[in-house]
Amino acid sequence: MTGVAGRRVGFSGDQMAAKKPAAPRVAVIDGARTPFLRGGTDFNDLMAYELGRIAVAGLMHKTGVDPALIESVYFGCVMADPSTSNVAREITLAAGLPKSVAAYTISEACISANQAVTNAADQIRLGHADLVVAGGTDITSDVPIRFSKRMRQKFIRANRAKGWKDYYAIFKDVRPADLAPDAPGIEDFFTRMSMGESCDRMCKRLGVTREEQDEYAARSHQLAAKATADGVLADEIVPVAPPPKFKAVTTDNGIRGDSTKEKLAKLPPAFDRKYGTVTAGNASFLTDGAAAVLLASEKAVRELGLKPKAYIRSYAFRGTDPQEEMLLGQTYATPIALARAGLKFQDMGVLEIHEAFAGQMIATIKLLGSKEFAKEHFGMSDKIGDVDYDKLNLHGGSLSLGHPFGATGARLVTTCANRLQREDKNTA
Amino acid sequence: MATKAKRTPAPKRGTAKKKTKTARPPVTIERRADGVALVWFDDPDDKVNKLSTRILDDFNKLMDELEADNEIRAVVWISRKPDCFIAGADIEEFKLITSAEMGEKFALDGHRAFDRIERSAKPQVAAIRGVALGGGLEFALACHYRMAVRDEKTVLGLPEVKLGLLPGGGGTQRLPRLVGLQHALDMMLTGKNVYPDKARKIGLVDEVVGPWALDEIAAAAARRLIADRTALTTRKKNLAARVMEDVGPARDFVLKQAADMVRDKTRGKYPQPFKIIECVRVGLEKRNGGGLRVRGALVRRVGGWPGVAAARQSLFRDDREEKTPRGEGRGPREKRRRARRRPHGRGHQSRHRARRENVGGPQGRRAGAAGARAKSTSSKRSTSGSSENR
Repeated sequence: MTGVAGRRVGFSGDQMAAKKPAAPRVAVIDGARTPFLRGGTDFNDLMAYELGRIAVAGLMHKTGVDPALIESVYFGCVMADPSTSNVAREITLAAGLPKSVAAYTISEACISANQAVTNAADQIRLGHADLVVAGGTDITSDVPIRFSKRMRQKFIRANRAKGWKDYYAIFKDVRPADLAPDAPGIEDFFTRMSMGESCDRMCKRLGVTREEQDEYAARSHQLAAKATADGVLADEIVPVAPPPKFKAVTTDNGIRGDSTKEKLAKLPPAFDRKYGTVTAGNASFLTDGAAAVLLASEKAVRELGLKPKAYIRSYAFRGTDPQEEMLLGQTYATPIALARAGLKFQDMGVLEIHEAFAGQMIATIKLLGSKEFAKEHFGMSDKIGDVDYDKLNLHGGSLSLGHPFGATGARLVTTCANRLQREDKNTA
Repeated sequence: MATKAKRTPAPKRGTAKKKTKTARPPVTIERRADGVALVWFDDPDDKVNKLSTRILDDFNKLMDELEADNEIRAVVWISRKPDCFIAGADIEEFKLITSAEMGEKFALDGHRAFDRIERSAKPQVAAIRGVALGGGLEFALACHYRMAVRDEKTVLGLPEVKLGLLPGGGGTQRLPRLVGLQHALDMMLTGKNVYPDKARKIGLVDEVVGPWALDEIAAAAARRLIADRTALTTRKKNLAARVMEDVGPARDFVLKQAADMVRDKTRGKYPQPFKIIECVRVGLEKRNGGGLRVRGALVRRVGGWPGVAAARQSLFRDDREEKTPRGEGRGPREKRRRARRRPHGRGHQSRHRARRENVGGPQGRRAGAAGARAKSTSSKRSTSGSSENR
């Protein structure tokens, strides 16, 4: 979708007290998600709110928290279905949460769910709430395909038509071209460039090669396949039994564990077909899925005896130039989030970065390790930090698991929290 | 040489020319491992690249080098200056052209250089980023494949007519072949700017690309041309264009229409537009070189016309041209000079006539004059960088 993928959520582990004592801490209790499936596969007959309901219900079940205690629900959604335009509210009702729960939907491209999580954290910090569910959901199998503007205007006028003469007057000049549907593209309205084109442009600007991208994409798929085989991802996945067969789906279906650099090198460029380097293999695919995270205040943790997996320590969002810096939001936001937490990049024990495109990841890694970049944009004397591949996206990323636009942020938070526990690290 | 992506490659010293004042030559050759040679323009003494006599003098040597090297299988012409491909001929040097013979020699030198590019057996690609005007565009026209960058600075055009000149580097011959008679006349007689997407639409360039790693993209295009010369796009004429260009009487009619329009707008005071039309006509009739020779002769004739000295002067105060009343395109100094020489000269008369017509003259004439004025302001606007085309 349109947008700047900007993400950087800093966590501190349970045992590490925040340096700034003032702000109350926000605990990440747990996260849950549906399997992420390629668009047009098993979730074809579902709506986004149904996936969201499954994720929230699964989360409630997993944490054992009484749904009646939830005070707010925030959900990210990008390809919004007009019939459930506030999808967060539909999810709240469908998941059996109290009707008094306030819910709103956030559309901020790929970081929608991150924004949902941090908004929830802010509400908790302010003392407005003690238990909040934040997440995201998207179904790319079903997007609102519209009539052309001319036809829409005619239909709206037809609402007021009286008798066949009016209808005739309105529809007499309909031409075949007017009946052509208007499908939403994953393109930026401002620049009219698709995300893939933006990525190609950026790769050219920063000198990211096809080989680097294919190598990174293969790594992501291999790691994801391993994590699935080891049952690591099963921790965060809630099985779904979708119609028409109602057969349980328990794993992501976009992972290609047999991916290699050599195989990926054979794919043709998908966007800039002549000179591009972005292919179907080194870009994230259209994905159906939902994810949710339960956040709690320290008071709630104490009173309910919850076991937090992590605490949210700081975050930052950053807009970037849609022409040249599209997809680089996370790179620009990282030093800000680190500064707010009083941490250095090297302090991170776990790294999870959203992989919209392999090219975007390589570019991010290059820029984070670039002294010039840090100096030019942040006046820093040294680079932001070198990305350690032994810490980065060890269970695969959006390239292999999939990227339901609105939901990815909540998956990242969940994965971060689980990895902090499993790897016994302090910060992510 | 390196084949990795280089966005701001360091200039290669001493590969091409050593004749220049500064250490850095204005043209350097970068040989890539894939058989593509990048020829980089970067005039060290100027903000823009220009086709000066210095470049033309050394051009044969440069082409010899490119042709002789069997490792080189295709050539990409490209500029290191982000805002400028080639801004055109060096008009400062025009001051030095004092006789018709000198003018003709300069023009014919240019033709020979461009012809060498056009006739080369190795694919020649023009990678245009920044302005390609006048001689710069004509240079690109001589190449086999043109790509233009879609950015704020890239603009193409043959503005010679606005400077009182003709497109002297084969533009009158190659442009109609490439974009068709109608667009070619439009471009040459108005001197208007053409922006990349429009250029692609009319066939002036073969491809529009993004702004980054132009060298890599152009090299990829060149490799494609090495593998398959048929990848070159050829213009498909529609029926109207075919009739207009290939059927004698129809062509003559179109050219006459153009001439009438020009006469209407300039009141016949400028010879250049008619010469342009004449060159195009001969070029289309002879198809092959005929027009170029005619052009050479016309340069001589135009060179001998007394107005040319003034036109040449007006070159150097082009910005004022737009401000003259009624879009007559005459610089104030020229008017003063004429007025001194002939107190009741044509300049005055025509101004009175124009005024009369604007008050009570026939509707058609008024509309024509207003149209010319509108055109002049709109072309001014597009020169200054705003972009209705984008």
